[in-house]
Amino acid sequence: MTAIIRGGVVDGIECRRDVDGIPRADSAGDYSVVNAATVVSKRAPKTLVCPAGGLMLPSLPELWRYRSVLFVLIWLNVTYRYRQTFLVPLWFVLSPLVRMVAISLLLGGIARLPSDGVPYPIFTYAALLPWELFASGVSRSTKCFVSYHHIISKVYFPRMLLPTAEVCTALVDFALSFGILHGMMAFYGFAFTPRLLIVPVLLVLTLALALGIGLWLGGAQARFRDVSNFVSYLVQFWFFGTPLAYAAGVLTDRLPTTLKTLFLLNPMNGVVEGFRWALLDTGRPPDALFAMSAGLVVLMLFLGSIVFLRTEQSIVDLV
Amino acid sequence: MGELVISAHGLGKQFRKGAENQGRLIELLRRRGGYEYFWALRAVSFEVGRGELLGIIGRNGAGKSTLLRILSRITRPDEGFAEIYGRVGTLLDVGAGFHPELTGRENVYLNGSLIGIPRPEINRRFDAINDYSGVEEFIDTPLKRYSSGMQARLGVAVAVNLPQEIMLVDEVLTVGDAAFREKCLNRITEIAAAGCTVLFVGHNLEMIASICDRALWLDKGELLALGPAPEVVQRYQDKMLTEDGEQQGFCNLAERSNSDLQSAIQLTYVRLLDSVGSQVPYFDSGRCAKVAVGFETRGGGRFSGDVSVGLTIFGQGRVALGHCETTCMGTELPDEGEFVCELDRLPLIPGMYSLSLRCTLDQGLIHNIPSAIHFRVVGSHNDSTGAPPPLGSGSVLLDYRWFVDGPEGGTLRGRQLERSARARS
Repeated sequence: MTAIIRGGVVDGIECRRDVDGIPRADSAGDYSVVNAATVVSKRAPKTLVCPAGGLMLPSLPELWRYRSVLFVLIWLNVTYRYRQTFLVPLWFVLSPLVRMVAISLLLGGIARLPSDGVPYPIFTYAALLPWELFASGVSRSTKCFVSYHHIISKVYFPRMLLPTAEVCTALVDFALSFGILHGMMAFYGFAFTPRLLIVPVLLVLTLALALGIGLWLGGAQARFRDVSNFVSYLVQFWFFGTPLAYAAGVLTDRLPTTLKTLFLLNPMNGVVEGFRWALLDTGRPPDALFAMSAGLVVLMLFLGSIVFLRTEQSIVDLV
Repeated sequence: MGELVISAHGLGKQFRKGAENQGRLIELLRRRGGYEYFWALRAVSFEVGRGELLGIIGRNGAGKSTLLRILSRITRPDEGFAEIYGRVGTLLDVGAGFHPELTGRENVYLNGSLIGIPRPEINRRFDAINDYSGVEEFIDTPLKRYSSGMQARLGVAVAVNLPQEIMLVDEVLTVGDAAFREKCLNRITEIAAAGCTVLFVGHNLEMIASICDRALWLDKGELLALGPAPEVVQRYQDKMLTEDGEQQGFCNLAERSNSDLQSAIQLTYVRLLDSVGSQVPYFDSGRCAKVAVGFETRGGGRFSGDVSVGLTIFGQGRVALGHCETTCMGTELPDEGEFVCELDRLPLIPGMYSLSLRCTLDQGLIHNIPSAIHFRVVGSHNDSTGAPPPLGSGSVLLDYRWFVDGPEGGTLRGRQLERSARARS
């Protein structure tokens, strides 16, 4: 029972609307093209525009609806960073490689720190990969509202997609570096074992941590540009507090119990040691402490998203 | 109005005045608070129905763009709320959501995705967009190499070829050339006819009056009028020309004269007179009109010098329409009096006009007063000269007479216009 109450003809195709005024589409899917000119959604969703205020939870359906924006932003980040550069693929993987060389020469070669019997380059490289993912995720997502101000002030999409895209962009670098790690493992005679299955879990945890921090600090950066300076120091300290350049045992043997617990509770400690455990058969397997730090990360992400949604409401006016 | 698509209730938005550095630690230590706020938008309520084309007019800073930004959810209102039914597409700026490093093609996908169009749909419409934009040759060139006109065309092409149920369009159409503008307007009216709702900010008032169903007039953040587009536009235009307020046919120049006060002759006021010399608030089209400019001479006693006065009449958009200048107003002037310029038959069609004054003394410019007075010209009701000229056909009243010329002579009945004779009588 379709009564045409208003129709328009463009390109010779009629656009029909039902009595209740809700445009009906014939084909399935979120969108359907009623005529060549008009894209009409199946249900006219009601949007309420109201003053900022109150705490809310992220709207997952909305995030899902805008998922294509996430992919576009990632793609934009990746392509944009290396436009007009000469050594394109190299820049994706250079940072952990340079650090690996420096650390292996200084700490492994000259200072001769213990590395649990694993060759120093691969020992530190396996740990640097998740670390780079985390560090660049944090610093990128902190800055994203400032660097994308020209877009968020012109187009609406759920702002949370921006830091999410930044964190996921770091994953692209990770994937390429992981290919190099693969080659190094073959070179040093390590084989992949079923333990590799834990790696995706560790990656998700790393991304969640980076995003959690990015959500807290991204909003603050919009207001105070000091935050990104602060973040670079934070990441620096965190680098030394995580067993990247050295084996965890070097510190745990010397630390008092409380500090040792704190050291082990560091989520990145769990991730890095987990990586070594999964790939090199050394380090620390995911244990109860790891589960606890994972819980911390989830809590941080949850609180971060609530804080962020509060800031999000006025972020365009603040930047 | 058909089915309701947007209903806004008392929308308001506040912005902070002054520099951003007020949040610094050092400032916090020195004093707390003390921001000054102003309302960019206040208590704006309106409703828009499906398929409606609503023009939004107002001066710069009236809150037009703020309103669009609130409706598109880019920023939040500080008071009031709005209910929106349907997906919103926005085109707020030249190259909004464009990235200079990406090519035209990539930007089409970027922009399309940002406004929420799925990729297959963009694929389907890509050729149309490319074709529409007219930048096909450069579609694989980075956007930063585009001229601003090309960027704008591409942006408009994306927006109008991937339309949403509700389109919010800021004054982006002003950048393209005339042909492209025409194409856009046609497309927008098409989109509206197909059931999309379009909110359209623009400064081209004649265009708004002709294509929009209704117009919304914002002034200093407040809604002044909402109604049929031609009416609102007319009221807005009148207001623009009488911004300084004098409608009485009199304007005091003592404050406005930008010459030095030492000059020997001062212009004190300007007023409008009819044929018998009484002051009138407006002129009648095609009738006798007089402009009187009051003056005072300085220095006591009889003044003598070579004075000349000129006035220029301006139409809408400050187009100069005509100039009346004396060569020499004589060498002797009383202490005070009026220069009167008499036009037998005011050759202006009904509308709003302004005039500027110049005065020279011994060939040196001593006064130059732009927009000395604004005045309205109304049609004379007892003037049976036939139809008024259609809108947009000029501002000048011509003396004319139509007739049929043929072997047997004759005149064209009913339309024989003998304005000059009648106006003089």
